[in-house]
Amino acid sequence: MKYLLLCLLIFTSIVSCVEVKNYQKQYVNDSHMSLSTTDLEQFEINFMTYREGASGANSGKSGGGCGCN
Amino acid sequence: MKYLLFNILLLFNYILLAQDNQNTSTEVDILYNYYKQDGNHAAVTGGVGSQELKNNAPVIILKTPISKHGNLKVITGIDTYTSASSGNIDIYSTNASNRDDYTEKTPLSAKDTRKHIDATYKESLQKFNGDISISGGYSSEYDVKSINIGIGLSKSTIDKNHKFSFNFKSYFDEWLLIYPGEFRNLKNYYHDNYNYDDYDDDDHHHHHYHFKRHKKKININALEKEDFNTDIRYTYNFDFSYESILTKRTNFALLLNLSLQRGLLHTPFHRVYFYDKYYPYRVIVDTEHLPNNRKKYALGLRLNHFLTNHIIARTYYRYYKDDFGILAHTFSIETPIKISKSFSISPFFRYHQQTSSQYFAPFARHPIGVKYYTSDYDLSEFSSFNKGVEIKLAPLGGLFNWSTGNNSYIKMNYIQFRYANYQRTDELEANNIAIGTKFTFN
Repeated sequence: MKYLLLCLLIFTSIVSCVEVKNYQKQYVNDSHMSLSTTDLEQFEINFMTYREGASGANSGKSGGGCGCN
Repeated sequence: MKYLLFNILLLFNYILLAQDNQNTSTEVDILYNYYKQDGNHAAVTGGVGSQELKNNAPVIILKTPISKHGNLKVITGIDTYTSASSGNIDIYSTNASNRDDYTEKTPLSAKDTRKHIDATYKESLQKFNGDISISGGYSSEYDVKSINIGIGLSKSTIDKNHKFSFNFKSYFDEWLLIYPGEFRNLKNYYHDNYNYDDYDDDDHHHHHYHFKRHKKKININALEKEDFNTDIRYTYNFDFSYESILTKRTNFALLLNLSLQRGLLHTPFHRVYFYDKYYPYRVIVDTEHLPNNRKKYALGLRLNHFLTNHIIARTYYRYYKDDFGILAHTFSIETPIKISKSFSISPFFRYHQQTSSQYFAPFARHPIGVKYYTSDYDLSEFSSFNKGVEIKLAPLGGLFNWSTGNNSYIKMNYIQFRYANYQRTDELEANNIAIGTKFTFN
C-alpha cells in the first residue's frame, strides 16, 4: 500500500507539469471521458456496495442510508 | 405512487420558478432501474437458503440554477423490492409467514418500499476558482429511517487542467431492532433514563456508565412498529479527489475515501448457527453480532484515454481495506465505441476480489464462544464478475424539441440503456437493467 501511494505521488508530480490549452480539449471534454460515474452506472455501484464488503472511492456511498451493509 | 407523483409536481414547480428567475436551462433526468438476484446463502437463515430479490427503482433528478452562481440538484425516487429471505424472519414463530407468499400478511413481509430524497446546493466561487456545496437527504423504509448531511469544496487551477475536491457526508440510520421471532422476547430491552447497556447499542463510547437492564415484553404476533426498540448506525465518509488532464487525449483521477462507522453495524434479523465440538448433534443459533466500530479505507484510480477517434478506454482500479479483515481489489474497463456522432455502444467488464472478514464463517462453522460472528456471505471471500453493455443515442440537437413560445423550448437530449450481469463465485447471480433520458427546459 505504501509503495502504491509513493508511485502515485511520483506519477502525479511528473504528469501535472503537462499543460493542455482550452482549444486542445475536444477529446477530454467528450462526455465519455468524464471522470465521474454516469447516473445509470450509479445503480450498479449501489447494488455492488450492498453485495460486497468493499465500498468507496467510486462516487458511491460507503455505507449508510438504507437497510443494507 | 402518491409520494412519487407529489415529488414530480414539486420538481416541475421548481422548474417553473427557475424559468421566471434565470436565463439558463433546467435539466430533468428520468431513470428507471430493475434489479434481480438469486443465490443460496441467505443470511436470515444462517447462510443457507434463497437470496432471491427483485427491486424496481424509478428515480428523477432535477438540476436547476437558482441564483447567479448557485445550482440546485434534487434526486428522488422509490425502491420497491421483494425479498425471499425477509419472509423467513418469522418462519419459526408465526403461522403467518409463508416463504412462497409475498403478500403483506404482517409488517415483516417479504415486500417493502424505500422512499428517498436528496438535495445538493452548489455555489460557484469565482475568485477562488472553485465551488462549495451543502447537501441533505432523507430515506425511509419499514425498518430503517435515514438522514444524511454533507459539505463539499473543490478548487481548480486557472487553466482548468487540475482539480482538487473534498467532500464530507454523514448518515444517521435509525433501525427497528427486528429480531427473528424466536428471539424477540429475549432481546427487546428498552432504555430507562439511560440506565441500560445492551451489547448491540451505540453507547460504546459510554464505557464508564453502568446501566440497569429493563425488559420489554413483546407480543410477537402484534408486530407493529411501536413494539420494536430502535438503535442507530452512524456513518462518516471523507472523500478526497485529484483530477488532472494528462494529455490532449488522456485524463485521470485519484480518489481517496475514508469511512468511519459506529453503532449498530450488524443486521438484527440475521441468524448465525454454531457447532458444538463435544455434542455434534446439538444445534445452537443466535443473531448476528459484529463490533460497533468499523474503519474503511479505499484508494481509487481512474484513467481515461481516447484510443482512436472513435474508441475510448475508461479504466478504474480500487484498493480497499477495513478493520473487519476485508482486503479487496477491484478493476474495471469500459470501452465506448462511437459508431456515429450521436450513437455509441459501450461494453464493460469489472472484476472484484475480496478476502473474508475475520468474523465470517459459513453455516454452522462458528465455534461456540467467539465474541463476533456473522454468516452474511457479502462479508465472505469471493470474486465477482460484472459485465454488460450500455447504448446511448444522443444527437447534438437532441432527439425531440418542443417550442413553448417566447424563445423557450423543451428538448429531449438523449436516451440511454444499460444492462449488466453480475456473478459471484459463491453462486450469487444478478441482472441489472437501467434506462434513462434527459430533458432540458430553456
